[in-house]
Amino acid sequence: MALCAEIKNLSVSFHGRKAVSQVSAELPAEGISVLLGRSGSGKTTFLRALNRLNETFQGYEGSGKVCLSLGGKMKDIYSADQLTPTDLRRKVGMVFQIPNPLPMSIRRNIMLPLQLIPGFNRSKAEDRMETALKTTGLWEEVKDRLDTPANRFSGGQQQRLCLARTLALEPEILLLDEPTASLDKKSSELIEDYLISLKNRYSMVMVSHNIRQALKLGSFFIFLREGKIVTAISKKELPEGKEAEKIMSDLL
Amino acid sequence: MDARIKLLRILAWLSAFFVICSFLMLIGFLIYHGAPVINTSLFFGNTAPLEAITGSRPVWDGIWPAFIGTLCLVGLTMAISLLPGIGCGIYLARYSEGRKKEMLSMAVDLLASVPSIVMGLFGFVLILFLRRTLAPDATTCISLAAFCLALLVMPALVVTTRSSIESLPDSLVTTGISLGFTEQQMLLHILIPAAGKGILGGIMLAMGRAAEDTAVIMLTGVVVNSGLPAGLGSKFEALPFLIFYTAAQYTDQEELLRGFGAAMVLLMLSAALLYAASKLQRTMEKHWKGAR
Repeated sequence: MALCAEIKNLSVSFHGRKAVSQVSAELPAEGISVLLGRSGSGKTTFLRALNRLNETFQGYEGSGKVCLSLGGKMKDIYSADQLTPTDLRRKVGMVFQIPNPLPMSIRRNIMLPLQLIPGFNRSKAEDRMETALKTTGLWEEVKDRLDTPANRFSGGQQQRLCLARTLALEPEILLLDEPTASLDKKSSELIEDYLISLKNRYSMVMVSHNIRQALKLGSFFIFLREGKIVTAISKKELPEGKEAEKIMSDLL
Repeated sequence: MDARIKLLRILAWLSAFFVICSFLMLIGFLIYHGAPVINTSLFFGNTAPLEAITGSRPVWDGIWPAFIGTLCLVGLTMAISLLPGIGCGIYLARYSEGRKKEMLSMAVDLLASVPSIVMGLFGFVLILFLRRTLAPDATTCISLAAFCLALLVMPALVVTTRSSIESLPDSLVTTGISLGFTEQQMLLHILIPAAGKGILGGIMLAMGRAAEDTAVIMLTGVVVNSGLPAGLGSKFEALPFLIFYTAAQYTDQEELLRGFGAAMVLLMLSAALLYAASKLQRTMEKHWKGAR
């Protein structure tokens, strides 16, 4: 089985409080890996270890090893000589729980991160913006309003914009932190559909607290409790239908 | 409960009314006395305007040299104070921690509480010290005045920059980081533009203060009659000092009216500077947001 991530003895604490302790896991490259657990179980911290976001918060202390498959090779993302945090975060894109467009127009939201990559030319950026907006089904809705401030759009549209902004950077791995938690049912389903359509192109790791959604999208599940992994199962090991949901909620 | 809310509303309304009234009375008073005397002879006296503007002929009984002097002084003050002021604000908001942060912000607060006359005295003593040590020919001049004014206005810049950056939502930083912005890109392309309005507020405060302060420049190089400022090391005239001097020394009605005219011009100059600054900020913000 090809892997997208290999985590060994990962521990993270903030202000001395352990969020994740001594966690080891291997995530498959194919499909969506879903991290499940109650609030405070360390799901988000686990996810943020994969793009080194934890270290930007106050009181961070961490240890352990995280290797990601980037450019066809397993790379230790915490070792200084392999790649810089900046490069890593462009390769490992992230979508957050609450849509977080920058306070600027749709166009600038996608173009600014691209323009800041050294040696990136503008017309190529325009192309990438269009492709990314098409991939998330937003192009038809916003193509005449690219210069409108992003925060005037609906929550669902903003979240798809954030997904498009991440995709425009052409990442290899996508991290999704409860991407539908703040959206209504219809917008959630739309996002879910786009994620399914993307799962053959990117390795994805998603945090979810919704078992129905996890079963719909995921192919590999990791259950966390109090900062430790309880169990990890792949979808193949689960029975079909209602029974799977029951097993999953028992594990939660 | 209802009555209390009503009372509060009336109080708020009265307070607003008080502020507006004071403002209108002040402006009205100035316009009433100042507006009739605003004409070319107030600015240039008996000198031909074109010759006065190019500086080919000195202006004796007009406020033109003081007008230009104030403009230069404000420009020079901002040139000295802008970078360290905003830089220090950014440092306090983003990079300093614990004791260092406390000490630095206390230093800024102390600097903010120094009365302007003390700052003027400091400049005066500084020049005496320089004369005795490094530069025996040094004397009070526009550079010294601008330096002391810069010290005076810097705290406003530091405090507003710091608070406007600190009040930005944390998610903005997290978003930038997750998109692979470097720390420097984050500052230049997200944080400073997003805090632009607040920082502009500080710049306006600082410019206003630099334009109106009299105590500092009185001890550091302003004179009644020097013509246009000749260089960085020269004496200069300034509108607030002209107004102060006229108010204290006028001999006839005409001179007094000229003082009112100068006050009116100073007010308009400040307003124009503030307008220009806010226009510039709006243009920059539009460009940053890319929104039409």
